[in-house]
Amino acid sequence: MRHSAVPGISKLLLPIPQRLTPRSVGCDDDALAIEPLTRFLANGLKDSEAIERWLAAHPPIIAELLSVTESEPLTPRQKIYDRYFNVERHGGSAASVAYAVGQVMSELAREFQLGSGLGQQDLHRLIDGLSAVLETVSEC
Amino acid sequence: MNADRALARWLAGHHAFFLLLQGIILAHRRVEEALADGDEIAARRALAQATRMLEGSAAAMLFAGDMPAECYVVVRESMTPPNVPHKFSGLWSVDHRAMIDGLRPLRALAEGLAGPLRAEWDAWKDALDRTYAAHACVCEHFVGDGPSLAMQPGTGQCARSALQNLEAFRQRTLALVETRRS
Repeated sequence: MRHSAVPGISKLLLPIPQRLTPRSVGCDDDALAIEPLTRFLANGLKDSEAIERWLAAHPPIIAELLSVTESEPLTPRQKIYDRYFNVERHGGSAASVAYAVGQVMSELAREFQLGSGLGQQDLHRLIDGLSAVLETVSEC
Repeated sequence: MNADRALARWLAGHHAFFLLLQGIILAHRRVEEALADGDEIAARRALAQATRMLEGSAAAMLFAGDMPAECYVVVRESMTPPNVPHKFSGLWSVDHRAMIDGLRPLRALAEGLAGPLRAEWDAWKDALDRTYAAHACVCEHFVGDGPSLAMQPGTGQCARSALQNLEAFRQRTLALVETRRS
């Protein structure tokens, strides 16, 4: 899920919750409040420079990232996603996960429109699995 | 399907997969907590949710690989250096490791399960098996008995095929949750 050498597919397309590091980072600081996430989504930072500026304004986030990414560098955009769409470190925020599920569903819908060989049963399993993600997080 | 479309399909499937994987990790922790507390109802519910997400992740993997084999060339290229670190493999991802780590405490807690809870446990374990099977299915479609990404020439790794690698992971993972019946 990194930058690709393939022309036209040079950026991550969606906020992916990933790089989960269980129990390694506390989630009781102000930086995890929902308000910064809402602002980030509303502003919709697009370019890497803006993202880097945003990250520079949030040093605690950088410190966290260093602790979880080690030798694997993330792109600036991934850093933000890593910070805000990580289920575990976000304390199971239903808002962040709902957003991520929505993004994934949107992308899947687009792919389905373009045609898919996935059978009806597997399609049901995929959608039902994503529903279960929401259920699980909402009960945490 | 062209190269861009193939890569977009691969990404879409994996975006869903990683989201499901994080849900699975959370559900496994809830299973652990519920079993430790002796809360059978909560354990069954969390197991059922984990099962649904595992089934979903298997489908996501099939969806990601829903492309002609010739299109996989560009997908594979995107997962090889310099686009990713050497020895890159989804099986070594932080998320997958977290899932495996989350399985370890479950076996001791689940020894001797019986009745409906045992049935839920077995269904969950079958779903876990099917998730690896879906991975193997996609792998076989594209790579056959070729080497895995982590074992490309020059890595100094043994020449185990991608399928053999997956099978080894499957067996090790299922062994982690193999329990006695009451």
